[in-house]
Amino acid sequence: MPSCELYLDHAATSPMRRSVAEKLCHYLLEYPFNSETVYEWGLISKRVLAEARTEILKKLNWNADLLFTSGGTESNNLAIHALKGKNKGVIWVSQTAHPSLIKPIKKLEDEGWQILDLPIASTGCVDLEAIKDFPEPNLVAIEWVNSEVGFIQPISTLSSWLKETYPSSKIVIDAVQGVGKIEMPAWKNVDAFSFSAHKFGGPIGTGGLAFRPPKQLNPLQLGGGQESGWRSGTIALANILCMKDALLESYKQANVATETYQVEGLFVRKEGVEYSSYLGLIDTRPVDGEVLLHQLEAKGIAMGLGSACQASRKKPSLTLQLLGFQGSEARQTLRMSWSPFTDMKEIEATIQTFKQLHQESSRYFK
Amino acid sequence: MNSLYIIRYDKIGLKGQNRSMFERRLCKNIKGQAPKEASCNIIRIQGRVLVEVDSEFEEEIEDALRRTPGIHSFSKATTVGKDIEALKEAGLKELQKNWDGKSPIEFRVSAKRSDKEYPIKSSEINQAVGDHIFQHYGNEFLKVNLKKPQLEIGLEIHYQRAMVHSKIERSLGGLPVGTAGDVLCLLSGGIDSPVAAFQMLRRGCRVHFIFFENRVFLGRAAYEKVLRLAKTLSKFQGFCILNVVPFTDIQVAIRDECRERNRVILYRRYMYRIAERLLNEKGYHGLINGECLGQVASQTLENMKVVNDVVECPVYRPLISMDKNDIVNIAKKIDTFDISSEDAPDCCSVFMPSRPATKAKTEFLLDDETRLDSEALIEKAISEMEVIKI
Repeated sequence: MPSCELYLDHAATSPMRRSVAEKLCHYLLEYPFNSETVYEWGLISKRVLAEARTEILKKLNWNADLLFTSGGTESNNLAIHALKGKNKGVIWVSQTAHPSLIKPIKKLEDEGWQILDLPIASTGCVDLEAIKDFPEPNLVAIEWVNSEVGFIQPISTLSSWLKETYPSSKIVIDAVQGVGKIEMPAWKNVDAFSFSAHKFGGPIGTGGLAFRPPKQLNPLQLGGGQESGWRSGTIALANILCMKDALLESYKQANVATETYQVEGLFVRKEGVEYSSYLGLIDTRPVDGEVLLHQLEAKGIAMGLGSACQASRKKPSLTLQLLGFQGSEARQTLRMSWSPFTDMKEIEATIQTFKQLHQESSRYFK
Repeated sequence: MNSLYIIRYDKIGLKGQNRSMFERRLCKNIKGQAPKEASCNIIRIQGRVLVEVDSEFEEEIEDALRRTPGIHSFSKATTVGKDIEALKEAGLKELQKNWDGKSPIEFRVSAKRSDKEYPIKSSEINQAVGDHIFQHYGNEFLKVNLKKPQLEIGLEIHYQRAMVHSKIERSLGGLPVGTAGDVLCLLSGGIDSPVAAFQMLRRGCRVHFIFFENRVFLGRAAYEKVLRLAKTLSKFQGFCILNVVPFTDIQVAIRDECRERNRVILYRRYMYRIAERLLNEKGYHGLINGECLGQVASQTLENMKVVNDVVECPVYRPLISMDKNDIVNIAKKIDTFDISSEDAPDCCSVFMPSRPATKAKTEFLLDDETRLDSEALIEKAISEMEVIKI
């Protein structure tokens, strides 16, 4: 495989660093046991798992339960399924969220639920004024850090208001693009949030759901009853231990690397909104983002088109449409995303390369 | 234990003096397709090829026989004694292998004699074996059906040996790869060109490939597709060569300097020129493409002519008169359809004209080309060509 000199697509997946991969290998060899077994090796595995859970909970600033899952998509599906309640009612959903949050909710519409799209302000964020007239929801589902543009939704404000106004409503947060990079606020009014290890340098196929479980056990998948019955399936202990290490290392580095990256005019940014320091949408108009992507690729630089999971060429993203990219213009964007370990000097050099390529390519798109 | 297969081939019998060459090539190709670890014994007898292989590799060898051009059909067989008593017993056993003994079945016996000195005629053998079977089982469940039997018991009597079988499986037919020479196919990643390549390799050609890549603008998705297509097609022909020619510079030059509506024709004229140079250098016998009349703007009679005009070598278009549905059916049969259907960017917005010419005029094309440093562009593309052995 040709070498990737500079990887700037960490929002798609953040590659495991060697030190973490070596730990994964170590854990696989050290703890090859089923943590549900009752001989000593199993019992020790169970203890190690419990310790990892405690450490992760602490780092996530979460004082309720934590379920280990296969990643963000599973966590989102599980949270919606578990928290929506029995009686068909109303669900509010963010239109700028990842499909793994939107699609399971849209499916409920067929079953008789009323689904309402959260109103969006011109910034892309949820419009907190406009929701005040909405009917009482059973469930609200929204992302924390937007995966395409990087804006940060006002979760604390939204969840406090929700619980004050409708105390029995539940709120689920997709925190996949924030966990491991942005310090976790104490979300006292949030009922669940999802995260995925491979977005902060952990193993792909591992993640979690921070969760305040309802009284009624209502899992998505049935089986051996692991994770208090909420998520059956043998515990991937080595992956979870590795995820814990990746999480701690990523946060540690994020705190050291105080120098965050902001380029005037490069990223699509609006006044009065908070943005992730690790993700930005670049307006490449009139040049097709994919053309630039391949030109950067030829120079060994990887950058994203949009959220990798929705990188369908035919359907422009709603988020981008809402931000003023009309029709095919939604394709005239690139997403640059990095990790706390990325060297800022390299980003600087990439920006120069990008600008030059953009200028050269513009003539093809007049 | 060994398993035995009777291989029947197509048309080869008609080729007179070439026949021995065809047969040798077919044996060599079968050997090449067979799994390396299977010690496979290939025997030529009159009008047939026999393959003996360790029973452990039955599945693999059958798979190999299904994808070897030149094989018309094959049967798993058992060697039996040549005398009539042995044939009768063999026929009975073959029936027992295929019948539960208690449900109605319609069958026939079909003997073939290539040993012309054998004292009993084929029809008499059929009669004798049939009688023997009825003597054994009576006629409660058994019935002879000569036209559409449920079970056909085949007996082949050759000079060297006699064999019995009961299932004839059709294979690809055509001619053994390598009997018709090497050709070069323009592979695009679409549905048609792999089918064109298959049609030619089924007629005995070894098909090599040339792919023109605009990597700078389109990335490597198409390259990956073409690589997988070439590998898929190599299942039918063993080895081949894939040549990947960087085409960005030529496309950019045409885009910038030439009439917009002629772009696609000009791209293709340069592809043909480059392909012909490679063909001449390697001594290949012709170019192959997946053109199908009227399918897209570049595939009108007029446009195919003005593209064809730039080369002297023969250009074969095996799909020219075919319906798209038939092409798709073949693509599905040879496992290239799913690969071809994968999404890969074509970046129409940059290089495609908004209204492509359907009847490009040679004088305008020549005029367009005077604005390009053709020789330098072609030289550079060839010098940067990647050659991949598949």
